[in-house]
Amino acid sequence: MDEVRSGFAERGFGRTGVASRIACVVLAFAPAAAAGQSVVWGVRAGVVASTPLAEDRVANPELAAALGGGLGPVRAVPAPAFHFEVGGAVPMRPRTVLELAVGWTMAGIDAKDDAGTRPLQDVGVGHATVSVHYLATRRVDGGCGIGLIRYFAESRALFASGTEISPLLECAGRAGVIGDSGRRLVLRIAGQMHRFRTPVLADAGARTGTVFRLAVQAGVELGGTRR
Amino acid sequence: MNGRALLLLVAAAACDPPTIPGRDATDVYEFTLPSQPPAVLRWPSGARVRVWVEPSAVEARTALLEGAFRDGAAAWNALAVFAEYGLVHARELREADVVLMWSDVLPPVDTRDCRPSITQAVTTFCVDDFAGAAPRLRPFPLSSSETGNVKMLVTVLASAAADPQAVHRLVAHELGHVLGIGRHSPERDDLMYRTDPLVARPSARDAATVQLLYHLRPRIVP
Repeated sequence: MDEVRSGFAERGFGRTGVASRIACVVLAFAPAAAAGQSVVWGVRAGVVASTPLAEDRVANPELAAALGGGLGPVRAVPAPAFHFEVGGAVPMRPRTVLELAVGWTMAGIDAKDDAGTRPLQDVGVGHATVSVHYLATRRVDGGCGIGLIRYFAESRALFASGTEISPLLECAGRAGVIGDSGRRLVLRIAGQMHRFRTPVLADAGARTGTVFRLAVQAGVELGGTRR
Repeated sequence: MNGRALLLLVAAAACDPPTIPGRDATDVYEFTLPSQPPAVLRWPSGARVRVWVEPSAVEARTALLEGAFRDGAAAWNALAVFAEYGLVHARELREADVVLMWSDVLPPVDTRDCRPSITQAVTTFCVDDFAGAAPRLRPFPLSSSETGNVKMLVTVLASAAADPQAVHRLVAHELGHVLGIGRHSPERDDLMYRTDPLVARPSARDAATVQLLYHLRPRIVP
């Protein structure tokens, strides 16, 4: 994979600041895609695990003690789920590429408390990211980026009053090998962090919290200019 | 506090999921059954409580009761953020856990051993083996002699039909009892207020009470 990317022509954005770089993403991809050979396209699939989306502490310690204890919190936890992502990368500098990716996860959310685990509802999670990756070695790269994420679900339980789009931070590392056909097989590990709150949680007095997602993916990449 | 400790504190705060803080005693009212000793009654966690609306000879009155159930169930279900319970419409009597009916309609269940009293609206159930290790609600036999599973009977006084809004309030209130709230709130703003309710939707105190109820171990499970 890095054998491909290390062959990219230098195409920096200059020192125009983060905002203008983000604004240039689409403009950078369009001519590169038109040229065809400079863009690396990839599809990957894997599994995502997530920290809880919400927690209800139910009773404060004094009330729990007055009621004889046994009042543990309840959490809404997404089950590990199938994840699909497509992306494209264009060169910025000899060892740096700009990557744009969109992904989708279908997950079931479970409620977990002292009484056990029960299905809560199904969600689809869509995200889009823009990230900068540094080519550490010929086979390994890593980088971080920003993006947006949104949960899509039936209007009930946590999502009874809808959802909101949240900003997202992502860091990922990738290792790849080139197959006989020129396709690059990649293994990618990505960590995402985003703020989360729904109107239902807000009505219940919840403060906004943070959700972490860890994705392990395998995929294939095509295109780019080889040295 | 040194810089490392501060960093750890910030990191810990940043790692918290969205969290609803624990309720304190002022957020709830007494909800246990007024028995000796007081007992917690509730459906099993995650249960879908199926409510059958017994038809009346007057179609409009059936529709009124069904509408009141639909609204009341939706209001209570919205509070089950973690799927602690769900009030649903039973498609047939045989599958029902609860029957909702007007007081002037012939009950579809045999009430000889567990008779409802006559008030504006009342939820009736009887407990078998209350002093035993595993007290249960006694099922009402179906009048049709079919096998059923009706554990509670909600009766609304027929004369209440003259005020549809009152029927909505009464049914929503009784659904709170169906879920296991065994007493009344002293606050007039609460749906579970001790006399005829003034509101048709659960208040924040009603919400906190039912959420607390569904995270306590029940002594009586229907």
